[in-house]
Amino acid sequence: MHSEAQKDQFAKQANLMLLEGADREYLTRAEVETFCPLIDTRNGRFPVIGGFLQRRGGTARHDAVAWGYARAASELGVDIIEHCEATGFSICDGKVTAVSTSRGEVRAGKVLLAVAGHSSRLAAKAGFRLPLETHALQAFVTESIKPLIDCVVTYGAGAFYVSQFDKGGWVFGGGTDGWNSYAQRGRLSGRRGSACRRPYADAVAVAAPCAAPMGRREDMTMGTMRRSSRKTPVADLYLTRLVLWRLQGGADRRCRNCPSRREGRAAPTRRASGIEPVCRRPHHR
Amino acid sequence: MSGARALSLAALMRIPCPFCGERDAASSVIAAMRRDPSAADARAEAYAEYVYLRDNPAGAHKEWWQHALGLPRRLFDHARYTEP
Repeated sequence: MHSEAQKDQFAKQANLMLLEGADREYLTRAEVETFCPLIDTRNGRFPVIGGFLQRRGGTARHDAVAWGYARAASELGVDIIEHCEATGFSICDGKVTAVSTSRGEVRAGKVLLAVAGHSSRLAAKAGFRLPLETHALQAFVTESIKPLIDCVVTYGAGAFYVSQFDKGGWVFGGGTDGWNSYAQRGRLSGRRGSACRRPYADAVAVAAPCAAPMGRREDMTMGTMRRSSRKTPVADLYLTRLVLWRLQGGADRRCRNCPSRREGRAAPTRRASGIEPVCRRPHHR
Repeated sequence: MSGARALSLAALMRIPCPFCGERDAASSVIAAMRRDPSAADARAEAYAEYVYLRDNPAGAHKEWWQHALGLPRRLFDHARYTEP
């Protein structure tokens, strides 16, 4: 983070992490320099005044995540049918009874929509709309270079993160385009803003001149609309927890003492750690 | 480098401003999805739908755009395709 205002903002987010049972610690500038010497903390335009660290945090390779889910589901007795498109739902008296697919009908007592950026399209097939738009989240990967960074560095205020794959490629991300789209094209401008103002991006641009942009589809919510359950207007048809979390306000949820809680904003409901979240706003001092 | 650069340039979106002509999307902003303004006067439930719910279509999408570097106070209709 580069300013006191950002420090306030990230203190709030860090407290929300504590609230959800995750861990984090505050690093001073000297500690940032020790932990990740590559970061130019004395940069004139963007001096780094400190940071927050989750030591057990890291990246999971996306293939491994998909395989992990698939293997666990398979072991629980789930049939995974590949190359099979859901084309519609059979709804009887407001209750879903079957999913029609490109390979025939699948009857079901309960149906869960778990399709990331395509939730709206499936919801439309079931006859309702969601407070979601699909946006491309921009990122790019460099060619392989020698190991330089062994952690994930994020800059939340600029929607930026960077890490290095085992194979050597650097992964830079990534803001959204700013408009809804199902396209998976990579665009330059969304990343240019975040990546090129990072002090170490210059070094990598020299070391790895070829970078492949990519876009990933994400569900984005409209403001902080709150939904109280995973249910949809159709009985026995459910949304995934991630979509639900975003509908509830996601990372915008406030510390429980903030005035915004009284204004009807979504408030944290679970305190697994038992630690009271305290943000650095005046009403806590 | 030329390959990656060509790919990036090809991916830029052009927005046809009716006053200035075709311009890069970076100089424009989306004002809103095109919606029925009469719903804004509706009762609470319909108003919540008006504010929050989105069609999020895959295909032609009708919006109001604003050319921020052109005539920033004028909105224009623009239909955009949201699929590759």
